[in-house]
Amino acid sequence: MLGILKALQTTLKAALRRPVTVQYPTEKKVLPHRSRGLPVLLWDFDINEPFCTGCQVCARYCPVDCMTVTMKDNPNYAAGKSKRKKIVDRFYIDYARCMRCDICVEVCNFDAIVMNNTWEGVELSRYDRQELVMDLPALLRQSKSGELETPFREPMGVAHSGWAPKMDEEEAAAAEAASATRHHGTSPDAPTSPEQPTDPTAEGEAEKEGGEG
Amino acid sequence: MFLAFVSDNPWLEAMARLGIIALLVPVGVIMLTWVERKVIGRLQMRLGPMRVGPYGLLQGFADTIKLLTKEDVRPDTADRWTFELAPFVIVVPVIMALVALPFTADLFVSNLTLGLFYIVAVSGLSIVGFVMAGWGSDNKYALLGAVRAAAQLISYEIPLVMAVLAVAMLPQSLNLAEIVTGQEDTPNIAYQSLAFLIFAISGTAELYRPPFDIPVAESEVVGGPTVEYSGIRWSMFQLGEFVSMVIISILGSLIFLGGWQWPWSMFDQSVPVAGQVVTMLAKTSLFIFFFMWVRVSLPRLRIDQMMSFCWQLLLPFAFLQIIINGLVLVYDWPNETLVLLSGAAAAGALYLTYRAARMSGVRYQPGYQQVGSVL
Amino acid sequence: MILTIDGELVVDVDPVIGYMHRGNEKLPENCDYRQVIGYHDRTDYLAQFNTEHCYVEAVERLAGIKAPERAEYIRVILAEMNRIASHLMFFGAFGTDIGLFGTSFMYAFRDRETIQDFFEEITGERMMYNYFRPGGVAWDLPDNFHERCTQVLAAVKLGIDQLDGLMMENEVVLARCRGLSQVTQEDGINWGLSGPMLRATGLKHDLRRAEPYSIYDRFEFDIPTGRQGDVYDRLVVRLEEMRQSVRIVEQALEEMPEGPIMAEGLKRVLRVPAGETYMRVESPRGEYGVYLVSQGSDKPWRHKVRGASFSNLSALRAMSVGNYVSDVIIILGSIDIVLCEVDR
Repeated sequence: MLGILKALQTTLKAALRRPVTVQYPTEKKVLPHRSRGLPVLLWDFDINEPFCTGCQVCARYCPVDCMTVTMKDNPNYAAGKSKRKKIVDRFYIDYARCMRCDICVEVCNFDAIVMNNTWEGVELSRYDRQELVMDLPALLRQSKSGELETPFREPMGVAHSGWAPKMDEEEAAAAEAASATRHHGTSPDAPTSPEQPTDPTAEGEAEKEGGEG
Repeated sequence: MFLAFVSDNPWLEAMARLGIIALLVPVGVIMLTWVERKVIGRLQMRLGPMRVGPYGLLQGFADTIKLLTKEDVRPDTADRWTFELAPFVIVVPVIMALVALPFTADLFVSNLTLGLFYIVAVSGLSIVGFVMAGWGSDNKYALLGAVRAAAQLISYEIPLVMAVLAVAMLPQSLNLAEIVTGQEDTPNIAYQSLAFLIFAISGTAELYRPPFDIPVAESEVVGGPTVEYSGIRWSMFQLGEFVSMVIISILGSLIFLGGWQWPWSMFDQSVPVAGQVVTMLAKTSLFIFFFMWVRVSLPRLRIDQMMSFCWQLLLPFAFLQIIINGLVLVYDWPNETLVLLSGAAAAGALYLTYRAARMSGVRYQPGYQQVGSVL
Repeated sequence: MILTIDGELVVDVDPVIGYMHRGNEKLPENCDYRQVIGYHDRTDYLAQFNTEHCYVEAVERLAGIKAPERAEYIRVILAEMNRIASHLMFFGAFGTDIGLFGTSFMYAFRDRETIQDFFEEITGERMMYNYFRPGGVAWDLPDNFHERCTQVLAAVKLGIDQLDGLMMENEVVLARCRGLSQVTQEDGINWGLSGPMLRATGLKHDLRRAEPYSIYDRFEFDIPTGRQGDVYDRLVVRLEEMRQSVRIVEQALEEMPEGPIMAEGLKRVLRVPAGETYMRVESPRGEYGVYLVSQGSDKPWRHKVRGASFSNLSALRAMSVGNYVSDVIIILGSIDIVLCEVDR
């Protein structure tokens, strides 16, 4: 009998705890900074073109072959505005196939693809499965409109993948300095300790854009 | 009272009272489903229904509308009249039992002298409905479930009736209003704790609530007696279950908790109707909360464990309570001895339940070790 | 599952498996070593860090890589928290099996969600983490890891006590589960049981002690065992394992050093020298093993997965013949199978 009384007591005490329900979709929980949605492409605001050059490394490393990428000659390069010789022509990701493994983000040499850490990256109900195949404008949309301000960029240093893109000396020095001071994987919302920059992702992006520009 | 304008003609008065019950009962049951979902949700650390209406208040109405508009399916080979009449045979006796229940001193349909006897007799008719549902479904598993349901209902009817009769022995009347007025100083729960325990447990079993819900939860596992029903017929089963829950709760608060007049009668106050209604509501909700609380906390018993619990534990103790009451009445002992005797017997019943549960399920095998604490 | 019954007694049980088969062993033969990690997440979808741990340790053994200290500590912390999450899921599902109206499910999942949110802050995913890599882990932990981990542990301890109070001493649970399908120690070994099912029979066999891998030999923890091997003993063993996992995580949190999280000098494309190895870990279900054969290329030649649930499920017939039908459901629930491990 005592066990039953204890079970009853446990249930009653549980009624005094706060309910855990988050009433989606009127309330949504705050997604952490590193939350992995589905991949999206990033837009380079300095030059007004995507970062992606269409090199197909991500498509090759994708375990489920969900990406199709083609490249073309970059008209901005011919006009002297950009350092990218080739630019992405067409880019299709089949969101229905993507398993969100993050390998495409890891292997990208140009930091052009990133996992969407907003709610739009996970709210993907469609009536027709064909609508889940995302083309280039759909993939660039969130970054272009500025919604994707703080994507999670994990470090792509030499120690990690054994390869780094060719950079000239000032770029290399700047990247060294950045990786020395930057604490890898910091969330901009986390409590910062005194010796760290407050928004390392923005600083890293600024470094990169300053280096490439 | 408020029905003064029709009080001349007894037929019209009866119709008016019945009409009030007919209106209030469905709405009450619908709100009760909302209450159950909310209470169970809170006990499980979650909100209940929140979307339909403010705080989900209209959830029951939405469910009812959905059930009423569903297609009324009947298996082709089912026995037509048995199948279609079964829900009615379950619901009608239950509502008939409402006729004899006094909600307050004046709010009742008919205050029968044999009120308790009538209620007990009428609520036993539902068993036929379950067997009809199982047989008429032309489904092996429905029949199996129905036979088990009938077995459980018949078995647990006996301790329930014994407990209730034991309580009726004290005021020596079966009239519910007299039983309530007999509890002016102390409610019967103090004198008849064993009967209260047996009443609560048998009541849970009568209602097919967990932990005694294996016949109806067989819908998850095999089939229950209600497996072939849909739409309005299924909603009648639910109606029957919830109205029975209300009846047992009201019965319990009348005969054990002192009805509408305790604790006010201790101070010799006479309470207006509204106060009586509030008191009865409060006591009834205690019972209803108890049923929902137990539902959330205890898993279900196996059918043979349930049967052995009834016949080997509840029934002897129910007889014991009657014998104790009889002794007190015959030898004219003061009522306070009942507190001791009944309390001791209740403690004995609880201890035996504890022992049975701790030792049960252990099948003696060669090499088996003594059960105890495992670590 | 095809049950042959005689009235209420079960005469024969025949589990029909194979409906979840997805080629978990063949498809990795076309994937390089980093892409295979995702397959392990999906093999045992409740204990993903444990399966990933097994696989990356197997690759590291073959390739001769040693993961740095910090990576090892991170792996142990995450694997143990995943063990807690898996056992919580077991309690939730088991409570529903025996008839608790979803209560244990809600209690267990409240804390499981806490752990999953915590994992989301680290890796980005709530279930399929793909976080361990041969040579270390993918990226470093966030700054507030210590505080968050302590918070999560406090919530989990409260949740374990709540489940304990709800189910462990409940007389109805005892009446249903005590003495059901008792398994002796010899039978446990003969039938190939492992994990909590074997420990419930009384044998103190835990791969973290018997063949310590990673850094488990540095931590102090007890191995809970049962006495009769019945369903109730399995419940108790899993509950106590959760408490021991909390202990391990607390110790690891204190000792975790700073440092690199990836081994030095790794090439971009990992080519593993020819060889074969069998690596096994103690997953929440039992012994999870990966047999890896490499022929020197960047893709595995043969990748075999030994799923614990497959071997545990094969004992279902011996355990349930002679019991009632409603008991067979409880026995099946107590084995704690994950279908993807059974069918791969």
